[in-house]
Amino acid sequence: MNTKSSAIKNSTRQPNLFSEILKGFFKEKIVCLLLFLIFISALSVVQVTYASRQELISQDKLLQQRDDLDLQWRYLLVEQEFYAQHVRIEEIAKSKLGMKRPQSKDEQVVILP
Amino acid sequence: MRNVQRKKVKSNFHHGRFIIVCFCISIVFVGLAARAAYIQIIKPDMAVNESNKRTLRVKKLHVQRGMIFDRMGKELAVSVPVVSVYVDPKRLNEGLVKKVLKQAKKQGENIKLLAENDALLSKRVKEHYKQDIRWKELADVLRVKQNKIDYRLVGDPTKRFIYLQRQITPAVAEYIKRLKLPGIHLIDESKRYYPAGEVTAHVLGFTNIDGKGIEGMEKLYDNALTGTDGRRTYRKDAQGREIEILDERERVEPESIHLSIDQRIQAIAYKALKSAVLSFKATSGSAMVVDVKTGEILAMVNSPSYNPNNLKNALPHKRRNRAITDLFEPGSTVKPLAILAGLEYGTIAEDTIINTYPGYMRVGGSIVKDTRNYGKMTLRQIIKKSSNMGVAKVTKELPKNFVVGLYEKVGFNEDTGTNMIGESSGLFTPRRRWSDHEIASLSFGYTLAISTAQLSRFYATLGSGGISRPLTILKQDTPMYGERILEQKNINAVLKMMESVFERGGTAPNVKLDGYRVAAKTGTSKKAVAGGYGDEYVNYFAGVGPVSDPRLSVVVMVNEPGGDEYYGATTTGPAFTEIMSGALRILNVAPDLNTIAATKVGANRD
Repeated sequence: MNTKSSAIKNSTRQPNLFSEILKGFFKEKIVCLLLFLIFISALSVVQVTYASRQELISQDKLLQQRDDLDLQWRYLLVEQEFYAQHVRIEEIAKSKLGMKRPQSKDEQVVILP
Repeated sequence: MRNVQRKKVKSNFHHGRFIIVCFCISIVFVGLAARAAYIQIIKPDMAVNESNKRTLRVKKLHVQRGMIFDRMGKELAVSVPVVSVYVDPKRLNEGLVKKVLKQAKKQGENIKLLAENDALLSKRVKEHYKQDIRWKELADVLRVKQNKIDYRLVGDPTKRFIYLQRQITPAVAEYIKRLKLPGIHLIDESKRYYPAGEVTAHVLGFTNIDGKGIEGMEKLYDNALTGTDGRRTYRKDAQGREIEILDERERVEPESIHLSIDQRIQAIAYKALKSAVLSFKATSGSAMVVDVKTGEILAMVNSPSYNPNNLKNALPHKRRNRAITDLFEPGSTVKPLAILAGLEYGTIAEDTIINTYPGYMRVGGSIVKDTRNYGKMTLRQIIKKSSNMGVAKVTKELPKNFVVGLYEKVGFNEDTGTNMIGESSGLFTPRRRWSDHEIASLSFGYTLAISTAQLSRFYATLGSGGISRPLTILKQDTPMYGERILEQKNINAVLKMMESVFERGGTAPNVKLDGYRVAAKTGTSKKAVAGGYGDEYVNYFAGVGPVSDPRLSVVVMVNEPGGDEYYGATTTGPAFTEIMSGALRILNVAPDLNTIAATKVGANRD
């Protein structure tokens, strides 16, 4: 009797749409929970995809950097080899620094025990 | 009140209208859904293609050729990335036509008419090409004359691929890229660079412009040195960044080759040999240094050489690795083997005295002679004076099979085992009947022809105390497997005899080695020409050192010295001493000549 009268009373008033929707939701708790989880999962899919793309981009950059460094290294290597040529060093040692090959009489042999 | 309101709502609702609106909206949605279904389910290829065109990219992962190192880890061959420029004349022409039409449109001409008029269009295209300064810049940066490049660029617009220039530096490539010319493309390639240049040229060989080994080590280990390019298929975003890798084939990195060559010794050997060849105006020369304990080749040089970084002046006669390809009669350098044959068989002993009187003898119709009559000689004197009579008399007493068999055992009829391209196995065929004179000639190094490498191997056998090892050009962790073919005590005796070569009255009295005892033998052999022996000589100097515990065998060969000097000791002696003492010093071998005071660290404590 009481409920009936309140229902009538409610129906006579303009219903609050928002609260009605919320009430409807809370009636189906499991569905509501699943919906919430779906939202979370959807957002995390977006997030993970975004993160993985960022990782890929940085990986690509690093790989590119590695190749560039390798290239640079090779050029430096060639340059170093040019300056380290045996003939060139000998020439510099002899003419610029006044060095000479030691004779055997200048040598002191050290024999380790 | 309530009734009034309800009535009002009802009166506002037109059933027909509602249905029409519903119908229209649903038509719109069904239409959209149908279109979506058509695109996605019935004909999805087109959409996929369009998407792929915009986002899908394939990238080639270039791999460089493997490096070649010497035994100390010094780089002997390095690949550096370079860029090649090519033109696609068809695309270039299309690009020009597009530009011309665009300009015409701006000036308000009828484009359709222009496009159909071929003669006028090609005239306009040519004008446009001439006016565009970028093409001149391209020619300038490539250092080619404009008219030469014109033909390739616009000569025949049906062609699709013409190289403009290969192996330009990345800086030039970047400049060309920024010119943004139609139809001009760049490809990554690599260029082989040899830091040691002509010093290692013959051993390493070289690659052709496509990076394939065609000589020397580059050819022999081409497969190992070549890697496989990788491929990556990926999706890119609007900014060109990789966002998804769809397929990836990893690149296979090539192997590196570690040679047994010691670049320091190689450089010393090359310098010494080059100066010998130049100062005695010889046609060519070779030198080899072998580690007798392992069979590794520490140096292998030839003169004349070439610059492998620029093959323009590399004539074929300069490219040959003479140390393994060229065969000469070794002359007196094999005399120690004749003495060894006698010692091994037992017909002579260390202290045997041989009478070489009167300095010549007739063997099987030909004459064997010395430069003068030496009379009675010890074995030591035979080696010291390099007496043909002495060694011929030693081998005369031996069975022919034994002598020939020993020459075979030391490797005069086989290659040295390096597997190098073009290696010769000598001109010595043991399986035949030998005349007395031939056996006598064998004893002083004629009637057989061997390479410098084969002679090095024989001397390495002497150095190792009679153990014959195949030679190797690759760095080894353990010594090459060797087989004992000569008795240690006989070798020791012969090495002592060979030290006498440097004494007063020997064949190389003026050659002095600083700090080390060395056993060596000189050789001066006449070169065979059609119908006999000519006026040209081949000079040898071969030896092992230090005698107290041999470490290296060194052979120096100079072919056809052009000056007045043609004796082995004069032309090859200085080079031999320089290589031998230089190499022993570098390897930190203790000097064994007693002139050196040795300090023993820690001796005081005992």
